[in-house]
Order: sequence, then structure tokens, then C-alpha cells
Amino acid sequence: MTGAIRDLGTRSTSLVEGLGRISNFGGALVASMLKPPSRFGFFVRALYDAGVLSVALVCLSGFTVGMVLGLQLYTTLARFGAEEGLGAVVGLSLIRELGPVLTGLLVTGRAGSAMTAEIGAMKATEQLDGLRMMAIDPIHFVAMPRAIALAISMPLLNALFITLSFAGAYAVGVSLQGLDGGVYLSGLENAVRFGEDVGQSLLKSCIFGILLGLIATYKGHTCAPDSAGVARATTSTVVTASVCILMADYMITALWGV
Amino acid sequence: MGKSTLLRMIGGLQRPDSGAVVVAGHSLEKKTEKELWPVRMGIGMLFQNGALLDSMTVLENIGSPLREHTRMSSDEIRERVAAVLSSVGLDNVESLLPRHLSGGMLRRVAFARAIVREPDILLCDEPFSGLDPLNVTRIEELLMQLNRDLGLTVVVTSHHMASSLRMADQMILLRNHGCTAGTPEAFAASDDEQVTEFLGEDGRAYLARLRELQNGPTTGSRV
Amino acid sequence: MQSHPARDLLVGLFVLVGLIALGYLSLQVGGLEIAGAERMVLQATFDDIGGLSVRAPVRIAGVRVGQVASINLDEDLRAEVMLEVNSGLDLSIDSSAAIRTSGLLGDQFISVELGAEDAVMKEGEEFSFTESALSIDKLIGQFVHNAGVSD
Repeated sequence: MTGAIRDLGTRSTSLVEGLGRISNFGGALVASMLKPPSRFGFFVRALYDAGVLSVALVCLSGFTVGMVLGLQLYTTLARFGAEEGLGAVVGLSLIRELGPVLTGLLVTGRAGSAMTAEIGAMKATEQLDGLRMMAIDPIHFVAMPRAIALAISMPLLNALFITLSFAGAYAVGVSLQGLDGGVYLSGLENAVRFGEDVGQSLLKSCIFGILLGLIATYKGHTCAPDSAGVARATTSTVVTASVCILMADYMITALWGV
Repeated sequence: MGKSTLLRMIGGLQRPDSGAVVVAGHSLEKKTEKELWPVRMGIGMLFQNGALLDSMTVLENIGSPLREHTRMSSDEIRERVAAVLSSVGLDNVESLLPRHLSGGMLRRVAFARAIVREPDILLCDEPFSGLDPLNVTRIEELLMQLNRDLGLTVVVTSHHMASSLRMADQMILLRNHGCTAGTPEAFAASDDEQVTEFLGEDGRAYLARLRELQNGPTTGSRV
Repeated sequence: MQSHPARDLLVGLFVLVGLIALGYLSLQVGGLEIAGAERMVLQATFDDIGGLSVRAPVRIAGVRVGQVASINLDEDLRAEVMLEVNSGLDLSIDSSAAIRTSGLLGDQFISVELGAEDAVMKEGEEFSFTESALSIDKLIGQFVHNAGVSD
């Protein structure tokens, strides 16, 4: 019994310690942004890894999610004779919640895990220590361009996801089920507001991008320097970032107002 | 047994649990990462597996410390890198990625990166491990040449007793409990069982030959 | 840095396409107005706005000319609705604003019916005539009540 309680204590302190460490790392990361990246090319490459390589996945997923929503919502709405509502429902649900959250989770799996694995492998092969010995800050040299690339890619990928999902819902609702295209689009455009909906979507995806960038680089930098350590860190990035994204989504929705 | 840890402590990469680390008058054990930078500017380190950045070419790898810490232009960096590379016996490898290099070449590129800013101290972690005899000799010669010509302090950790005895001014044997320091000559003359055991077949054979030739070891590294 | 023309191009393309998608969402779908097209704000007070919400369309003869900017309760506890409509519309000062429903169960919008006066409404002016939302349950209640009486 006392063992279990002590265990609980150890777990809580290590959780708090971990929070402290990642905050310190985040502070160092932000401080390192004051100095521009050593080479612009690093940033372009990070943007390629985080953004371009995720485009296909995000677009395909977005289109598919749109198709599913179109099919499900159309048949349900049609039972009440409210098919015209398709555009509004699809638009609001995708822009406010599904777009940012699903994009966040997809990019976590696609780019966040790869980023942790790459930095972790660099740590395991002493590349980060090599930089430190050359008096080069690994956070500035390695983590910073990658974290920024993720934070920039996320809203762009989110916008792609949402746009493609609108197309997916259009394909099912209009092309297959025979809803009028104009009704769908005007429903969409009337229901969605810039400030509340698009703004919230952008804010969410930016925050998710920053969270993922922080977690992915932190896990890479702090992983145990062997292959098992890299594997653990990669898993941990996916798990931690996914949970953080879902919790942050709830908090932003609650704070912003539904 | 703690060789790499020792080198990492000299470079400030790890902190000792107790005791002091003093490098060129700076005591390192309480310094923050940023405060260590000026000390590290004077230290070059050759990691066991090279620790080259694998997404960057040889030129970018060797050029990084110059780009970060000097105001040299790209062309000047290119020239300097070519000069350092040819001093380690490599030519026209600038545009290759580390994964395209063989083990010996990798080691020599890492070597070039460690010395490109002309440090005062060079730390080499197992520079001979996993290399063929030809490359061992080549690296040995490079180290001696640096020590002789540029007056670098070279700290080498090695399992390779013969080359250690050949090169060293000072040797420290790290054992399970404590260590023994001395010159190669002292080790050669020593009848301490632990020392002779440590020197092994290789070392003893080398020393025996040495005694036959009546020839002291050449100048090598010193601690 | 090694130059990777193809990669640089792809990155540029990615950012461009992403920005276009963002632009589409903001401008077309979200209805953000960058240039801030000429708008004038008119006021209308209703006894009952039913389910009218902010950003509901304002229509004249069925054509969308603006939207509801805000809904507040005034001192007399009536609903004070601010309407944002395209300036340049010549609405005579005796025009009326009515809350209508598109279809039986559809969204509510404000329909403006033109008056006959020559003078036109200017920024900030209030509609003199308004017509509150028709509540379906009220209507049904009335119908049932009337039916009961005539029996």
C-alpha cells in the first residue's frame, strides 16, 4: 500500500519534472529563434520534410473524410428533408473541429514522428554532441528550424485538408446524391464566418503546430542515445502530441466559445 | 572503462559526480552550456564514429565551425576546407555525403573537422578502432605531425597498446579500481603485474622489440 | 548548403497552394472582406426576432445585400438589430424590415421591403416599420384556438 502511494508520488514528481524540462527546452527554443537560422536551406529542408511530404496524405485524408461526411450527413439530413443543410454542417464541423484536429493527428504521425526519429538518431550517433563540441547550439542548429517548419506547415496543411474535404463532400453530396451545387456552396458560405470559424481553425492549427514542434524536437533531443531509445522517443512523440492536441482542442473550443 | 567518459568530461559534455575538471585554466564542472563555448572553441574533438552530420556534405560538415564562428566568405571556407582535407590525404570529396564514405575516409573527414579551426587541444576517442592497419598508421602519422608541427596537445584514448606506446609522451592506464600514470618508458620498465598484464601481448611484444633496438619512443601525444 | 532546385520548387509550391487554400477559406467561405467594401449600418427594432442570428442575410427582393451585424436588447427591452448593407442602395425612408423564414423550417433572414418616399436612408438611421418573426407554434396555437371557437 505504502509502495503504491510512494509510486504515485514518484510518478507525479517525475511528471512535474518533465513539464519543467520541456518548458525549459521551449524557452531555449524560443530564445534561439531570436537568431536567424544558420542557413536558410535548413529551414527549406525542414519545411520540405514537415510540409511537402505530408501534402499527399493530408489531401487524400481530407477528401476521404469529406466524402464520408457527405454520405452520412446527406442520408441523415434527407430523412428530415433538410439536405440543403449539408453545406452548413460540413463546413462548420470541418472548419472548427475536424480539420485542425485530424490534420494535427495526421501530421503528428507523418512528420512529428519522423522528426523525433531523425533528431534522436543524430543524438545516438553523437552528432548533437559533435555540434556542442564545435560550440554550436544544437537547439538553434537542429531543433529550431524544424519546430518553426512544423508551426508554419500545420495551418497550411489544415487549409488544404479542409478545402479538399469540401471537395469530397461536394463529390458525394452534389455529384452522386444530386444535391444542387449552388445550394451546397451557398449553405457553406452562409454558415461559415471568418472571425469565429476560420479564425478559430487557424488559431487551433497554429497552436497544434507549435505544440507538435516543441514535443517532437524535445523528445528527439532528450531520447536515450541508442536504437531502443529512439524508438521509445518516437512513440512517445506520437502519443504525447496526440493527447496534447486533443486536450488543447477542447480548451480552445471552450475558451473561444462554441 | 570510462575512456570516452573521461574525454567527454574534458570537453564539458558530461559533468563529474565529484572532483574537478580543469582545462587550460578553466574549471568546467560548474559552467553552464553557454559558458563552456569559449573553452570549446580551443578544443577539437574526434568522436569514435565521426559524429558527422549525415544530412550535410563533407564541405558543409567541415565548414560549419568556420561558418558559425568566423567571418570567412564561402570561397574562403571552401579553400580552407580543401586545404585541411588534403592535409589528411583526401581530395575531391567535398560534395559527398558521410554515408558515401568508407570508414577510414569518414574518420579522416571527422579529423579534418576537428582541426579545421586550429584548436589548442585535440581530443580523440578511439581513433584507431575498426580501421585497417594502413589507416591506423596514416592516422597515427597525422596525430604525430599535428603534435610536432602545430604544437597541439593531443589526448588519445585507445585500446591499441602498440600505437599508444609508439606515440605517447604520457600514458594513463584506466583500470577497474583507479589508474596508473607514467611515461611509456616507465611502463616498459615496470614490473608491476597489473601494468604488464594491461599492456597485453601487443604491447609487450612492441616493448621487447623496442628494447632490442635500443631506441626510445618518438615524440607523441602528451596529456 | 547543397542546392536542391526540385525540393526548393516543391516547398515553394506547397506554401503557395497552402496559402491559396487559406485564402479560399478566409475570403470565399469565411466572407472576410479585405478591401472593406463600402457598407452602411442601419438599425431596426423588433418585438420578437425569433431565431434570427448574427450574420443572417439581409435580402431585398430575395437578393442578398448585406447581413446582420449585431443583436442587442435596448432599454425598452426590444431587440435592436444592426444591419450591414451595401451602401449605394437607395432605400426610401419608409422602407420596412421584416424577419422571414426561408422555407418552412429554414434559416431566418431579414427582408427589406421598399417604401414610396423620395428621401433615402443614411448611415445609422432606423427603419420606421418592422415586422417581427412569425412563430410557427404561435400560429398553430392560434389556428387550433380559432378552430375550437368556430365549432
